[in-house]
Amino acid sequence: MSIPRASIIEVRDLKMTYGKKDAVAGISFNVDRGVIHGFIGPNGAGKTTTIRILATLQVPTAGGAWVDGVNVVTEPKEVRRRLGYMPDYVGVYEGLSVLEYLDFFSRAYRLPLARRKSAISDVVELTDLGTLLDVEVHVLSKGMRQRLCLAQTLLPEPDLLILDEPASGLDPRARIEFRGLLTELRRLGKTIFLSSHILSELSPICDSVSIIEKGDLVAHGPLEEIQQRLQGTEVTYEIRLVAESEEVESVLSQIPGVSRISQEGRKVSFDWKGDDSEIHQVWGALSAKKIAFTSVKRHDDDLEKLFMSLTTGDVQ
Amino acid sequence: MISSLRRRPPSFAIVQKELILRIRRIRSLLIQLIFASIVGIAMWISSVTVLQGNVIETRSPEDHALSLVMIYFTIQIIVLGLIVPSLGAVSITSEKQAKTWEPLISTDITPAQVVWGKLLGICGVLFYLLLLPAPILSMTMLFGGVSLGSIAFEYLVQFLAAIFIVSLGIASSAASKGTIRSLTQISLVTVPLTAMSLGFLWAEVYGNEMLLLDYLEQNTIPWQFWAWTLTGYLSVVGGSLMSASYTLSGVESARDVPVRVLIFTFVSLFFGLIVLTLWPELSQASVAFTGAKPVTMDGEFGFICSVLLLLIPLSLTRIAGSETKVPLRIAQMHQRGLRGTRIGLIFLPGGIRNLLYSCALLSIPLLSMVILMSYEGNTAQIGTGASTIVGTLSESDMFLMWQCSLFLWGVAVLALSWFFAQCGFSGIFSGALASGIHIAIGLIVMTAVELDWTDSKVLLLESLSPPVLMLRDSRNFPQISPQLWNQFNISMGISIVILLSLGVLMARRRGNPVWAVKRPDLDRLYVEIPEEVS
Ligand SMILES: Nc1ncnc2c1ncn2[C@@H]1O[C@H](COP(=O)(O)OP(=O)(O)OP(=O)(O)O)[C@@H](O)[C@H]1O
Ligand SMILES: [Mg+2]
Repeated sequence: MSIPRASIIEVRDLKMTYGKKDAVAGISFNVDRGVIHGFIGPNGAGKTTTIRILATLQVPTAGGAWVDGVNVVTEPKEVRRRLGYMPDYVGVYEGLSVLEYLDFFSRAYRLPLARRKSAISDVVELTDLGTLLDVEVHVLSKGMRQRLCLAQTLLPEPDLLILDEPASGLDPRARIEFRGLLTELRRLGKTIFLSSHILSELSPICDSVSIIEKGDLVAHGPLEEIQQRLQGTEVTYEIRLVAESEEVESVLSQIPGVSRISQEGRKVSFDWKGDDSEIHQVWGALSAKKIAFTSVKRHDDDLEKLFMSLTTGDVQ
Repeated sequence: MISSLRRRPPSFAIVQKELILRIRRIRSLLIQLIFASIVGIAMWISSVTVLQGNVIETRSPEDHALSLVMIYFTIQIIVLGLIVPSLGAVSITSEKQAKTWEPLISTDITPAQVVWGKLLGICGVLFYLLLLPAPILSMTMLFGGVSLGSIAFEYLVQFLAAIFIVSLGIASSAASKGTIRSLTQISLVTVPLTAMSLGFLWAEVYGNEMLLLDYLEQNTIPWQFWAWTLTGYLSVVGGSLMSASYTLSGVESARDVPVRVLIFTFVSLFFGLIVLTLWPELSQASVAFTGAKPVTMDGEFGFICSVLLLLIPLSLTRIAGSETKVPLRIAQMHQRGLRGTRIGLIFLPGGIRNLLYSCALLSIPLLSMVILMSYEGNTAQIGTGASTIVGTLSESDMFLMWQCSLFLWGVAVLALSWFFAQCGFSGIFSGALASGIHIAIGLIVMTAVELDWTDSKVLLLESLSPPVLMLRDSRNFPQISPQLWNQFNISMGISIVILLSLGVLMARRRGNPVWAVKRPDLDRLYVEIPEEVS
């Protein structure tokens, strides 16, 4: 019934209207197989709405979405078999132990008896829950709960994982461990589609991103490609001088591409608009005037910057 | 792998989980202890008081045993009435509130399996709880006098009652967003029910030193009673469980169709039973008292039927005013040409079918009345001479004609509710609005009649609200002027036509088809993947 497609997620003109308001205003994008795809946007951008439509929990107003070539509206059951979905707020059955919890879900997914045990031990190993099997679910920490929920969605071995803000509420250490887990899953050939409003949390692991704001897609593509779009935009440099200098401002202002120079004692910062390969002009001009500096800092928080430049930051 | 996941034997995952969760809880252990000790203490106290009062000398040990058994089951019923409703009512709302619901239905478990699993899980624990103090009960066996069979029967009735209440609870839990709401709903039903059954037990059964089985043996129960009880019980339990699983399967699903078929079957069965029960009585009556006025349709029964016909439209406004959009799944099924959706067109929700279906339900009581009338035979000829239309008709025919105009009034009420739904109001709201408007008109008319306005004005006003007149002159329909009868029908007919046209107009404006099983508002949904978009 479905022809194998190159992309695992295909979204076309997808629209979700609540009353008169467009929560998702007709977005189109593809997600390739085997990648980690970040779905990024500020609060109220429409991330959860899009994800719930993909997970067949909601019917869109117009357009369409396909998972593995299967329509999420007309064949929701088929779609559910192909993806594992983790909602933004996950509940667990308090009172069950970790093992009982996983066993319950292995039955709920109707895994054959012979495969249940091995499926559970596989996901337990993957998510590192081995030492907690007899612990009751309600005493687990937030990070461990998150792992347990991920383990549960992994039981039927879905090719696609859709995670809605999986890292929210995790401490930095748990976040890094969670990232490690996601890269491991990618290595196993799974596609991961995850949303977040914190850019830096995704940039180390994402292969591609979509940025959504007020229901509209403002950017979509491989991470490097989007980073290249930054080329035309400004980068901030910060240098620390060996000694205070009166001249530095006038020297810098003569170089084309430099703007917004500011000086605070020995700390000088300026915006650089131009190719990174041309920046040596600046260093050359400074050394020609014998202005020595000890350190250079490039604010290369690319994604953060990209995010700020692409979105207006309005929270809906 | 995907295809191998299909078609497995029924899943017991939910039952198992429910049992683990419920039995393990310390709370349930406490409940067990409290429950057993309440029963034990109550029976002990009653034994002691009996012994101290030296009643034991005047009463046989058998009587004493019997009274202990009665106390035992009375306490069980009270506990049933207190605990059981909440067990069912929280079953599904708790999952929704704990955010475990969506992960659960994202698995291969269907809503129906969840509902069955919950029922079995809850009843399993409940039966265990009810049987827990049974050892105490077995001590009464030492006195003799109470047969094992009657105790077993008592237990059977309690189990059936538990299943009944739990099913109702699950249904209300499935339909509610919060636990509080479903708890309130279910207590409104179960508290009076428990009180009534206790009242009956002590007034008729236990009070006469009997257990239920003895009561049944001593009183010959007519078969109609069993037919009614069985139909009622099965329809309520089956209906609750089915509607629970369909409510849980999403707004755009085909869930409404089976529920509508079920309601239709239930109403038909209900009125079929009324006809079957009344028929022998009526035919006997007309043989025994020819010419006189025995149990006739235009007497007491007629009055009851009229009141029924008055109340039924108000309860159907909710259906007539339900969502006017066809659920997506049904539109798709219909488009695919599924035969079931063609044959049972009237059961498909959406558009004017909502009105037609509710009118079909409304016509069932009318139909059963027509059938009943045909057995009664014509009682007496009347000739008021006031009108050329009804001048030479029999009383029975007159009565039927009035029922028909009452039916017409019902259709007008439903059409009003349907019209509000076309304007975009929700089902409950349009239903309440339509009922409210008609009740208000009724009150105004009643006031006007009481204030004795001039005849012509009253006549005009009265024609707006047939029910008021039916209730005022309920027992002598023929005396109501035929002129008024005409006026009723004309005003109701006109209002139906106006409401229908306005409704169709509103539906057009809002882009909802009136008859077609389509979803134009979702026509912009893609079925096939359009080729690459940038
Ligand atoms: N059921 C609903 N009814 C009405 N409006 C809704 C509903 N669900 C979401 N919205 C609106 O749609 C918009 C998008 O919401 P959504 O939850 O998809 O945002 P989000 O990107 O997930 O935000 P967050 O980062 O806060 O989770 C919001 O403006 C929200 O108010
Ligand atoms: Mg969200």
